Amino acid sequence: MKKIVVIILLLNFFTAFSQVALKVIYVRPTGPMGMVVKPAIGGEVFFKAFEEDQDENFIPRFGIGFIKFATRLDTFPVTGVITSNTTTVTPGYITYSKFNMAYFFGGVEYRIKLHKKLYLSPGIDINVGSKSISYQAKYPLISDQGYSGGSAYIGIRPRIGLDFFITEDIVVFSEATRNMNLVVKEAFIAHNDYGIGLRINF
Amino acid sequence: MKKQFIYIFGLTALFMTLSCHKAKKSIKDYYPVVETRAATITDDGDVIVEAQITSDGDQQLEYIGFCMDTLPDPNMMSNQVIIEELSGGNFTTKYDNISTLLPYHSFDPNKTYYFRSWATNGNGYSYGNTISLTNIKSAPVVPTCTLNTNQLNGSPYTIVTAPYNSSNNTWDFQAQSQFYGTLYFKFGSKMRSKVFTTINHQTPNENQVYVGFNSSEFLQSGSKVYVQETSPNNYEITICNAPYTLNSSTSYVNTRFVCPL
Repeated sequence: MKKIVVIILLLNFFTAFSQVALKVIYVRPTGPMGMVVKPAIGGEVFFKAFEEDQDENFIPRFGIGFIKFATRLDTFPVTGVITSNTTTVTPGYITYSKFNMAYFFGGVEYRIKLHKKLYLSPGIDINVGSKSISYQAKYPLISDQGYSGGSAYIGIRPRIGLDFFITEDIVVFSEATRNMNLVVKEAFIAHNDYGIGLRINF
Repeated sequence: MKKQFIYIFGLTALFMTLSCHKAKKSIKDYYPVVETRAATITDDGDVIVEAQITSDGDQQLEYIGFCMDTLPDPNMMSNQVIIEELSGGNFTTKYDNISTLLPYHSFDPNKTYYFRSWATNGNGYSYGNTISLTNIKSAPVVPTCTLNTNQLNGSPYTIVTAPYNSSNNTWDFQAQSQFYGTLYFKFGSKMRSKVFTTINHQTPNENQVYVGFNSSEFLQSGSKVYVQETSPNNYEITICNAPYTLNSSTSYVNTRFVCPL
């Protein structure tokens, strides 16, 4: 009985979110992340609620995204310091072999009708995701270690988009997004992204 | 509700945009930029290296310094010198010809030495360009008098013993003269091509030398002892008209001899 109730609730939930969208994004890292990784191409899939009245309204959405990054250098020079009787500065390096991000997001946008088929849609999302990183770091006379793992983050991203209704059920859209971490110190996910996509009502 | 959303969105977007720290176009802009300007040989055979920081990079500077080796592009840890102060973006150091930093303890004029600067900031480190020098040796020492070799005030003599006294960190040797007895030399630093100054006690400092003879006489302070390294560990020593007190009267030493150590 419990299972049936859950299934019904999920069906109602997904019925409410009856627009599915596929978006390709061009990601431009900023801040500390911008030093390490190059701009990359990523993708998102998300669901949006469908409203009969398309003039002006709040529309929630949720989805998932994935970005695979390449680093700007094969080897990054880093510094180690040994302090005993005297100070010695040692030249080390870090080499990354993997740098990916995957995330869930959910948010809301406010649709503003500009023209018959054209809408402006500013919005805000909350992201919950993780970075998956592998690297080898060596600091001569100090340490030589490898790392493979991930860290979770919670982010926020304001966005602005333009939707063009080709038909009532097919929409092409573009978005610009600024992504930031909600926890100030862990800022290694900051990036802007610019995407285009296709949305279909089902 | 609509207005509140627009305000929240607008403020958030503005804050996020203003806090955006755009990625630098070149990865090199994140690291310090340092240039090794010059490496010059002094008369003493030391090397003075100068460098300049032209950019701190994306983060504050942490350490600056120099490195040196007989291999091209020396590693930061090779004969590392960390500099404490910048002066208008410039910094300098001296690699002594005689130094505990050098594994060779003195520059070999037949070898090529490579010097370069380096700097670190919060992102990492970078090197300046490398400058190479060869034939590093001190300028010839020219005594103010011309004497025949192996003579003391016209009297010939030979070197008796020439041990390095490592416990006192002095360089001692003796020269036996036919008429003037034994001449004792005690240098306060390693012998090298240089003009040393006499001191009237047996604990000379760097660049000083105590010259005594027989049991009680010694050269007065302030005279010059000209030391020329003719080949590794071979020296020619000249003293011109250096006074000493003998029986309450002043006498003078003129001597020139070759000293193997």
